[in-house]
Amino acid sequence: MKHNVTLTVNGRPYEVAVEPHWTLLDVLRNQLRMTGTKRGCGTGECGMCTIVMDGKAVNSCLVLAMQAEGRSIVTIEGLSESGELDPIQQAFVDTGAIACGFCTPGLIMSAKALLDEKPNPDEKDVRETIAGNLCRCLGYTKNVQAILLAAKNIRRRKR
Amino acid sequence: MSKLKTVGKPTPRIESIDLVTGEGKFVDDMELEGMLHAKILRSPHAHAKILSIDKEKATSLSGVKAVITALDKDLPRIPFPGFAPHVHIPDQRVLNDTVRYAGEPVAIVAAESVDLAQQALDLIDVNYEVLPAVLSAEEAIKPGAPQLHEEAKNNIAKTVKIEVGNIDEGFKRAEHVFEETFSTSPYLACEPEPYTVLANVDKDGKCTVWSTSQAPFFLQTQIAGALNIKPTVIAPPWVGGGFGRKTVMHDDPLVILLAQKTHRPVKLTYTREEHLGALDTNLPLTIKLKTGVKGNRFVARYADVAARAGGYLGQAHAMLLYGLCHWASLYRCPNVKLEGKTVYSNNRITSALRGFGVPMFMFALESHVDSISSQLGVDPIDFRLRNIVREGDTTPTGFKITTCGLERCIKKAAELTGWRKKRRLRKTGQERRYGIGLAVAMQPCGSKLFEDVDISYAEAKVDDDGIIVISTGCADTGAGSRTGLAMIAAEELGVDLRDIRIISGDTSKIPFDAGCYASRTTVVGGQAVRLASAELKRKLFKAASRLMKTKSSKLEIKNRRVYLKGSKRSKQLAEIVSKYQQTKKSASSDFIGRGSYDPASRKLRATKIRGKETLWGDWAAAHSFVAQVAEVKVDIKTGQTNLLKMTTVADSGRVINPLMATGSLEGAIEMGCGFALTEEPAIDEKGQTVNPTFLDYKYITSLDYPVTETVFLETLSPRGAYGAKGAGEVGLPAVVPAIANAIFNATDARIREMPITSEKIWKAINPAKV
Repeated sequence: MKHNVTLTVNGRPYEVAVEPHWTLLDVLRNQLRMTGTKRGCGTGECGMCTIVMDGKAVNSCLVLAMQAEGRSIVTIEGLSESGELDPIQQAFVDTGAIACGFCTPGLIMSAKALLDEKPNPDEKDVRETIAGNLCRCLGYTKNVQAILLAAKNIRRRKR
Repeated sequence: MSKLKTVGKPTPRIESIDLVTGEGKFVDDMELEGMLHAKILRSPHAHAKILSIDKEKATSLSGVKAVITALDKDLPRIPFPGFAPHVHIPDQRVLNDTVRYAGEPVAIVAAESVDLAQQALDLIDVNYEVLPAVLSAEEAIKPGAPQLHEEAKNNIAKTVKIEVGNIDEGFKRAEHVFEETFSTSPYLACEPEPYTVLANVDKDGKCTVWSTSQAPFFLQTQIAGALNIKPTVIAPPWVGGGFGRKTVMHDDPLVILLAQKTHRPVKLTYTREEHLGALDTNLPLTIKLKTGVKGNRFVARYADVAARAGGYLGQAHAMLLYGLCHWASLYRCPNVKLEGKTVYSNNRITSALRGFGVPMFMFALESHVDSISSQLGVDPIDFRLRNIVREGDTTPTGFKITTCGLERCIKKAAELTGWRKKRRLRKTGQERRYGIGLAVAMQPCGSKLFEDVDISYAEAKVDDDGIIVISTGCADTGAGSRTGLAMIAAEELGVDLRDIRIISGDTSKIPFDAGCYASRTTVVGGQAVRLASAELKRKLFKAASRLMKTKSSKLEIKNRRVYLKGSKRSKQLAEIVSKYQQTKKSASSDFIGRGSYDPASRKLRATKIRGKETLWGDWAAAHSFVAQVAEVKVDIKTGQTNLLKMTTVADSGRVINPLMATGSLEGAIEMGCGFALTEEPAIDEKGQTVNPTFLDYKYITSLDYPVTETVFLETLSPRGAYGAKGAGEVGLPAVVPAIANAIFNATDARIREMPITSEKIWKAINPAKV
């Protein structure tokens, strides 16, 4: 039996009827047609479905859609709504940290949660943050570089 | 050559914006009106005859629109034709009435939702007669073992022999003879995006398949072989990693049959569990090496190889041949012999995975060379420099090596890592021991081994807005192939990269290309693009020179206009094209630049050399080379290996895009470290994979990934555009042996089985305690 929930995604409310067992990932992709968040495994082991919920990076495949009601959800689509790329996105482009791009949204959202909380992370912080994000095309050299570059650019902007 | 403007500059993927914003639509992101979802029912048994299937309950579940099973009377039963007969056996059909591996499909369902499709699977009743199974090549060839296919006596699908020189004489002359046996695991690519098929058959019967394919024309051919339907295959510019896995047809024909039956689009997206637990694996090999050395040079090299194919041949034998040619060719030796067999077993099908057999042979060979140099008391680098293949060589299987920077790569890797000093560090007594190890490898770029076709076509034309559109059959799975081709076009035409648009992936709109595999896209596809661009430029300048009353040599293209060099006089590209089209005399003259490139490589064929039967062929367009040094720390108490650093020096010819090329090598390190230390599908005594999750299969995370230093030393290939070779695979084959050799350097433990787990290291260090 479906339940009506209101999900706040990227600052906007969406009313949607969901089955109790549907995950936030299912609803984002299928009902809300926000396909930027990817399904890599569906069991919380690859990080490709990472979104930011109430400031924390979470695997959206491990959150039931009904659990997400009343929370603030940010997806990859929310980062460049003004038309300009977020500094994290720009850093990934410039560093060449985009190969097949399938892990990219999840990685960027993990980075976003980190940098919102810790604007000056060291390499160890970054590696720990993305330990749950699999990147098979690039490994982690460029991904770590991109996040550190993004941190530097964000700090520079704020001055 | 004058200075290059675009080629050689670090360039982000041209699709970066789509990917970084999440707007790029991968196939699973697509939704067509009325779309149904498919799910596959798989056999739990490794070997069984299907006696009956009752699909009544499944079919009558509300929301289920079609169920196809292995026993359906109207199921097409064409054995897949595959490719060259020397590597293929037509032993497989879309569904088989005897199942030969745990996880083999037996039925497929289309329903209104994924949930309903899953529920329908549970309602299908399959009655099996379980048969005895064999799970290893060793068991499978024993007399009395269950036979998987009638035609393969003792389950031996195919055999191979190469022989050059006189191996017995060679061993007689040897001062030392070394023997070691190695085994490699059936590891998995773990491509980030699961394989997805979206099929539609319209009311006129025209079939379109949107696919995650890295080789759309190849997929089209495979589907046509299984179904007698030739669909249009469309691969979007956004595909989430292939690594060879997306060259091979999966259950695409079944999805098309569902679309035909239901008259609706049908999408099948494999789950990660299916990828890790049932879909194809890499080819595991057991490699016995026997090597004779005299005066620190190879005088005899012998190998006896058993390749463990799965329940169906897949690409097992092709991978065996591909790999053995490189085992034979990496080192100079007058007497070389290899005997091999590809054996059926009740395991998952083995097919293309990055390196296509080469990495497995390199693990054995480079570990063996390290053992040899250690026992002889010679530095591994010095030993290699005395024996490695060189530019100008013709190798024992017929490769003509046109460029080879391997010696420079080895020396550079040694210099960057401080090799000589570090090799002298004392090891004993410390709880965590440092180790440094080297391995080298060669990887072919372009292949006529199993397909006898290694051709690319391209077209270039001017669009209405003055953008130059390049149509290419190449696909991009994330290595930046489309970007590299666009860069070559931009360089050839003398325009900015942003004035090039690439069209690829749709078989109804693009010229033929064999596919994005075998590291062939830059060297073969790139040359076709360059030739097409050059022809377009010639046509443009010819027409412009008439219009502007000047010579072609005085013209250049800038900002979508043709300029007289050094002046402001110019004409818009689009204007030149339309003026020409209005006045041209013949229907066959047009404004399209066409290029085709077949690299004049030769198929591998059976032949006799000095009375001995062997295989011979210069079947690669080029070879890339790599030297890699791994630095590790091994914890003596637990056997755990910490990866400190991987230093890679590669010869990939002229590097078209250093940014994507280094990314490719760094990514190969991610795979290779996992293959070296942790990754292996584990099967139980019933042949079922018991670790079909990332948590249990264990890839390398950011916490384990080493520091990397990656350098290219360029040579200029006579084949590729601007001297290019390939970089998609060469980063992988030396990783595992470099790590194995570093572990040996740290602990004196030589582990000859992949993966080299902590447990194996601990047991080797503590034999008394085992």
